[in-house]
Amino acid sequence: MDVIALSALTAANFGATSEIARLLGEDEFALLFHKGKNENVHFSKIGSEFIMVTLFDDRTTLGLVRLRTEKVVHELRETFAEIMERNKGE
Amino acid sequence: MAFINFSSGEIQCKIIYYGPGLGGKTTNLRYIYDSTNDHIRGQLVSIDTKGDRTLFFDFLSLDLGKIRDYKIRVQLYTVPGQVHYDATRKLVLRGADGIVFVADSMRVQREKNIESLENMAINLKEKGLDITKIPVVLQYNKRDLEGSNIPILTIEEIQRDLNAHLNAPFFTASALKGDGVFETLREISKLTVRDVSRKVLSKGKM
Repeated sequence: MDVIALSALTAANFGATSEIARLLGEDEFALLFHKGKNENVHFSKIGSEFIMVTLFDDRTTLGLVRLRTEKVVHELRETFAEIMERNKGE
Repeated sequence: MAFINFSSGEIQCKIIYYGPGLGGKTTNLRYIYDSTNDHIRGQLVSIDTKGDRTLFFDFLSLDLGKIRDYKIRVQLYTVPGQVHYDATRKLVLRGADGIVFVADSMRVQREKNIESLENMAINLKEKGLDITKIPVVLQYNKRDLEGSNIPILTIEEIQRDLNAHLNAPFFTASALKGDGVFETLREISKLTVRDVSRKVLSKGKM
């Protein structure tokens, strides 16, 4: 898979939906989900600079994916915030 | 914003093709895509309408080889040229490291070129970027119309319109035929990688 193309489109996807959020009077949508026939994709925003993309098929459920990603997002948010803070200091 | 991965030894830069609608930004990317090998390029991603007008952006990533053990990868984006897609242009422009401004040589597009360049300067400023500091290369496209019955601007006229203050390197081109496409890409890549490396070196990280 072309991960870089996927990343560019993911960023664009968030860009477009943040405009939808604005139209609806929301600040942002923190997660997005697309359902396909075989593959599903779940996007979670981590802070202001990162997006986590999770691909999964029908061997698991959206609920379980959301539960697990939420935990990871929480941990990653702290890690990235630390890295960003350290970079600022240099 | 260039992305530097120290562990994998890779530098990624973002280069934007900007310019008025129907000027040939997407045609530039298509020509690059068609003329490069699979192993150095990624997919050409286009979000356009049925009429082939860019709706969001086009995207192509290219490997440019190595500099000081660092693999250089450039990500090429186009913006939608049509005036009313300004919000999208701003989004795509975010984090740009270098810009190719594709001007349309057709005389009827003269005002559109100037308008688009002014729009670019404003949008860059909004993102905290200065048009005189960021690497910029101008491309005067559609030179293949020279000698046809479609009136086109002379190089001197376009230079006066767009490049009098900017003083950026410029190339004449026919994106459709491929003339000047790689010359433009080579120059903007060189300037961008140099600029990014300078910033990194000044931080003493490379």
